Amino acid sequence: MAYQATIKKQDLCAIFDIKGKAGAVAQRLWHLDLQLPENANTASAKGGQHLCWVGEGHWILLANANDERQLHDSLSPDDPDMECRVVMVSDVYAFFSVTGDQADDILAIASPLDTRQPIFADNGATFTELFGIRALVLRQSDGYSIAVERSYADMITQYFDKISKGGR
Amino acid sequence: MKQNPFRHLAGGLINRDKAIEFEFNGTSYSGFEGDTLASALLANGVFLTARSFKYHRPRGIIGAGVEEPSCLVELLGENAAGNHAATTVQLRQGLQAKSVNCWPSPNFDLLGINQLFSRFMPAGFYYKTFMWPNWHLFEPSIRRAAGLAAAPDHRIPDQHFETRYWYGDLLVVGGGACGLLAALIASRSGARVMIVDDHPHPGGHLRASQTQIDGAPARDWVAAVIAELDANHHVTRLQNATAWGYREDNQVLVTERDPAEAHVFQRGWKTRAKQVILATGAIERNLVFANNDRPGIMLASAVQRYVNEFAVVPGRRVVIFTNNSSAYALAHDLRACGMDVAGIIAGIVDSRPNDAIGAEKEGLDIPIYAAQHISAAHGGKRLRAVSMRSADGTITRLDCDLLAVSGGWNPAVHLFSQSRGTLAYDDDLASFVPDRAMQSVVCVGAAAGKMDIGPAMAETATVTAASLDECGFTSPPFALPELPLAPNYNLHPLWHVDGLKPGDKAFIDIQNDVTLDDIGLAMREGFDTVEHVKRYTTAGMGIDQGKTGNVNVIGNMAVASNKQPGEIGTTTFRSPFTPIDFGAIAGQRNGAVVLPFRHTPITKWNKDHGAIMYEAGARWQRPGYFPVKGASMQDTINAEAEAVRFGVGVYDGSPLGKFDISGRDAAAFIDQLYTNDFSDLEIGMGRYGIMLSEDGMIMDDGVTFKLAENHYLMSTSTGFADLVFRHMEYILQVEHPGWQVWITPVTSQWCNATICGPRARDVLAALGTSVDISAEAFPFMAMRDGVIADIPARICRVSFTGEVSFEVNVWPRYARAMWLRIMEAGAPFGIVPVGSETSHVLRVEKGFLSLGHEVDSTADPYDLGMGWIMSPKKTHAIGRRSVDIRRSSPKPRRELVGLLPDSNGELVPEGAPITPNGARIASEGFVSACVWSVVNKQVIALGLVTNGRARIGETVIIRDRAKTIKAIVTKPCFHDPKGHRLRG
Repeated sequence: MAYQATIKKQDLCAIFDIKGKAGAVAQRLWHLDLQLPENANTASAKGGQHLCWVGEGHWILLANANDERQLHDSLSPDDPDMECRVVMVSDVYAFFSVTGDQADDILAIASPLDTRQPIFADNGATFTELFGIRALVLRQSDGYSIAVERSYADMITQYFDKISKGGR
Repeated sequence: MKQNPFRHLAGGLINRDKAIEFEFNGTSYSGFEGDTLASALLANGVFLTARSFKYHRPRGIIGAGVEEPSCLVELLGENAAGNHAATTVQLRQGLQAKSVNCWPSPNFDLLGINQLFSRFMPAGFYYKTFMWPNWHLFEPSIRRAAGLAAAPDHRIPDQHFETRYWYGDLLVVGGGACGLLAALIASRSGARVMIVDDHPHPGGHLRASQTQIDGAPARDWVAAVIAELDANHHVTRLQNATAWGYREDNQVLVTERDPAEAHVFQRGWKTRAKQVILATGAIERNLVFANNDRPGIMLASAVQRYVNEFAVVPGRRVVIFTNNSSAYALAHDLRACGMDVAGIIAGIVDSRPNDAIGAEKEGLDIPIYAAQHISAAHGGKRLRAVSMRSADGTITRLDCDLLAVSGGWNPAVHLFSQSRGTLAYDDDLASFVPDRAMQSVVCVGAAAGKMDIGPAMAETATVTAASLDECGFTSPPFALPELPLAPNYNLHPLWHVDGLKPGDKAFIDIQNDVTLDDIGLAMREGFDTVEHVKRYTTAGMGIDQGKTGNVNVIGNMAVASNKQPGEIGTTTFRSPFTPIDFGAIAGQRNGAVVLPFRHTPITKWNKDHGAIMYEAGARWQRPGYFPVKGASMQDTINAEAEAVRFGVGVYDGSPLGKFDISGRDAAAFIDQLYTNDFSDLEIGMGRYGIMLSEDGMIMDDGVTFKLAENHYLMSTSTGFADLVFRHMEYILQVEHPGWQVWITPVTSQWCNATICGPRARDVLAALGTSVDISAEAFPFMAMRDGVIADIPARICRVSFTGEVSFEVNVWPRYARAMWLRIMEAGAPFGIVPVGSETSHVLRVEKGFLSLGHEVDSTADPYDLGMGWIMSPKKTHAIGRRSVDIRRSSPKPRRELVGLLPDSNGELVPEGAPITPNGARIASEGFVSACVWSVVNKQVIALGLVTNGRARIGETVIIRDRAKTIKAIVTKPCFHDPKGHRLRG
């Protein structure tokens, strides 16, 4: 690595795309004991689950892949007849983790996101641009989790390889 | 190897312990670590280094930094690059460089013959001379004769470029006295600071002068400041980095050369600070007199830098020609190192005594020729003498081989101007200074027109404190460094000096070979604004961007038009401020990732099986076809198409756009999007729809399935999925914000292997499925969820080939496994993977439309013979009204037809025009697609032809470049027109 950072492609996560009114979403998620984030572009977290507020009336729920079936059943993603909509999108995204002392440098190369701590703090979560592609970036204590649309995963892997190794 | 005959034995800031060998124009030389290519060439006595852009006049080195207008070089070998100023190229072991724009060498340049004809090549002669018969006839030879270095022929494998972003509180551009002071004060406030300096070493002009700060050499103060900045982790210091572009929202673009990280060759920074302080200094301007471009004539500040920083004096006998006080410091420095200074010519053209200059002269035992000026320089490839004219017209000749000129200083306002800040003319400086800022930016020091270092630093401290306050930081108590009293900078404007004889060339823009006469000619021809003069003469264009010449152009325009320079105004300063490598803009985006690409889980299998991969829209890579050893591309495509028509094939249809649409108003929403009805769709069934834009043209098509009440799955074309998503969100957010509809893109949530052909059902049965796949139980356009080959799947009966098709949709985590099982189960039936080339053949045989072919943003459904899809009940569907209005006109429309070209089996190029009788006149249509049909055993085509449906049976003429091809107009479906096979 040219930078002191570790970049890894992660295994499948359970991901749910949630849209609707905040009250309805909170009601649908009540059994998870996961509060809606107070500020836009932040996430609330509990027990390995993260609820990211990524837009007006739009949240992304991230969880361990092992929880997918249980979440699928409890969130009724196929039931559109409510004031909010939950769609399972676990396969839509590929996840990467960027950790280490120079994780910020890697992000500065990959993305225009302003990652300064006061602005994008430890619970920061936002869609942004990563190597020109839309990506969800979640700041965690040791670095970042990054989700890109799965079809771009090979390209993003090549980008990370390039900036890590310094080759063309 | 040659010695350094023009280098002093002591002094300078070079590392004499480390000699460096380099090559220039094929000759080997040596220099020292710390040299630039320019300083090393001068040290070696290489004064003729270039030829001019247009006239191929001999040229030497004029400047010492980014202002260099003359000596541009092409770097060869490792790190090859074109058009770098020799003054900005750091010497390194093995450096190879050559002059540009001359052949075979600057010393003997065949195109130097242009000088004999220069009187026939004034400004604008290209425009006047090369009009007939066609500019392009002359263009190649003119481009060869003019121009700069070529781009390197080959990619340099070891260069790694990188771009990155930086955000902070304060960006300081410039590492001279004021820039360093601003950064130092800001760094002590706790602000996040970046300082950018384009020199290899900090200090700016302090490095090139004998200035003292706090009673010690200024270099000591610089070193102390740098040490403090480097110890502060809130400070990012970029040395050898050029801020070259100023964009909106305080974004400043910087290229850093040779960063600390060894693996990076150059790095492009996109910085954004709350406040920007521009301490970019000033650029000395030239004086305009006859033959002011001869090798040996240099800017006074450049000579001073060569003397003090590189211990190089590029001449044996020096004359200084100045209209201002700043050049006297050079005289002191030259005398201090024992140089023979023949005199200072104080070029004042009015009758005032030359004595705003006073203190500067103290201690100088050099003749000062007051109220005189140089009317011509003499010499060809090297300066030999100058002719000096006194106020009474007496001409005196002074022998010299180095003339240091100073026409005053222009604040380097380029970045400020790029930020859209306005400029104002300053009479005292005879130049333009920053006026009103349009962004959070302020200029300090010489960039603000403050040419005296003491007051400039004091003001910098004040300005920095104000900037910090804007950022929410408090400026710390700070004691200004002490500087010795110095005389005030002053000058008398001197825009040009008349030559000894008519026709003498006095250059205003040395880089672009623009003369004083060119400016006069342009104005006489009516180009009387500065922007027009710039374009007509090319003054201030290109790499130079007017660094040394622009204000002289403006001053001389003012003289010619009897106006003040402030009334003339400036041209637009453009980025980049100085040449930068494209690589540092592109950064890591090169090689395999130069264009974005998208893969499906099957992409690797496709590549492993030899597929020729194409981009299939929206950056998806799909197999075009699977080459068969020994078979041509056409034979391969034919074989794949025959497999689908007569056996079974499978293709990866994953890239099709897919959207989950739900909510109380979902049905009404989809009804509004498509021209046909969807609200009566049954659960588990799908329907093909066409989506129009507001202007009534086809935007997209696709099949939408009803999954449950108020819940739909919409598929779109691959390439238009993002456009459709944007369109849908617009409709919802702008037209119907009260509707309850949620759209979730699920393109990558579902992969799709489409099994198609008469044996498709057999393959599905062989896979084993929980779904009843009989035609009766699972009809065309139905959808079923179930299990196939023990994998959960969603199967859709949709066909883009005209054959029985089953779209097997699975989550990507299962896609590869499903694909492998399909190939395994299909093997006994001869299943083959098919590419997009084959899909194209199959859809043309069926007459199915394809976006980008038949749908080109000019066609509506009626044009394609699909009037049946325009539901009469749905007058509210988007685009419907536009279609109705347009079709109320009697104007004929182009309509989709089939074509049977008489082309002896050759394919007709797609896009080929169809013209009346094949004449070279306005077309009456075009060929939208052409393939070899495996069922018809002939070339077939689709086309859009004016009144096409009424002309079925007629013969039309297709133009294919020089030849014409007859084609019979037919219906646009060549296979199974009733659709029995796909419903089977």
